[in-house]
Amino acid sequence: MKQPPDHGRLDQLDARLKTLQTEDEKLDAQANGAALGRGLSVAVELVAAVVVGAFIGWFLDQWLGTKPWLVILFCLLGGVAGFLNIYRSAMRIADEADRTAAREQAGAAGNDETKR
Amino acid sequence: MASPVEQFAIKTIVPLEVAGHNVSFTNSSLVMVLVVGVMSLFLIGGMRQAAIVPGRWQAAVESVYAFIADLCEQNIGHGDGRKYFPFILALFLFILGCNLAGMIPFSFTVTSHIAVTFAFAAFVFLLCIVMGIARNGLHFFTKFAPPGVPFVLLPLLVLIEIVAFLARPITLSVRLFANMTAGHILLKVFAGFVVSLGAAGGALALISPLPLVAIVAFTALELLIAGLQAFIFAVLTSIYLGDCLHIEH
Repeated sequence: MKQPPDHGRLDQLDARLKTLQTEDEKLDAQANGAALGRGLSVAVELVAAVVVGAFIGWFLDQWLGTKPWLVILFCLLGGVAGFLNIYRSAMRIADEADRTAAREQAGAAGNDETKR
Repeated sequence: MASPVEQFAIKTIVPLEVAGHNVSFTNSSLVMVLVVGVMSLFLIGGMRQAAIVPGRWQAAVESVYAFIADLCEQNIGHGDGRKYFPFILALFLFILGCNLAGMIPFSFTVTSHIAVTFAFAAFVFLLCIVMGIARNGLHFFTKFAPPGVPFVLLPLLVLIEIVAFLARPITLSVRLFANMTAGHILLKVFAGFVVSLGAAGGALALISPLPLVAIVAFTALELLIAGLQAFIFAVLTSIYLGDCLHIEH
């Protein structure tokens, strides 16, 4: 066959194939990046909640004249709140992992069909 | 030897005072203006031709666009993603630009100042509350009362939820600020090692290239962190927005 190839259409097909491939990879990369980032931020989450709790407690103590008690209470509450935030972000990461896994399965099934 | 925190000093370029407040144009403002310029050029320049088969520049712009559009749709969701997309895109590109600008030698890292990152975080926090109340009315406050909780525990849980909610702008700002500051101090300290080991002479001078090798590795790591932190800021902003717009119960 000595037909000149139709460059315009070939390029378009190429571009479409590429977007399909990169979309899959991008979703993976996005999930990984998010998980890594949130893993690293666990410490900040805990410390910040305790600091916010202590600040609220200190402020309320000044206002109500209950000197040490509310600081102590709100520091504890802050610790619990920190864990709550960490727990929630962990749940979110697990959710996302489930979703990407489901998408990968669906994607794999679709790829098999196109390959044939 | 120069102090490793000297790089964070704000230097006035054009002194300016408005109503007794110091609003001078500083090296920080200069970098911010440049970042806005470069990012606008990146977006507008890339979409100048808007070809069906994109060239390299346009493909880069489109991939950033699609990336953030995905992120909004996933985390804000329920058809609201589109509305906040311009905000999230601008926020992401600006923070990314500031983080990357800090990696240029003799430049200034805007995001290494908590005043800057906290201004962002506080704005996001207020935006969440305002949009949450505008959307849900007073129903917004049921967010702090988790469903199916025994009556006795409810006051305690509401307090915990409120503290957890108020911690958000702190974590958002401290995370970005601490990452950028720590990374840049680390680079400076290791750079200082190269000089002082070299100046010590003898066997110590022989090992002075070791910290230099470490700096190369840290620079790569810092580039990763610059991108990652901008991404995390955008993700968390969209998660918080989605969270306040859609009260689950």
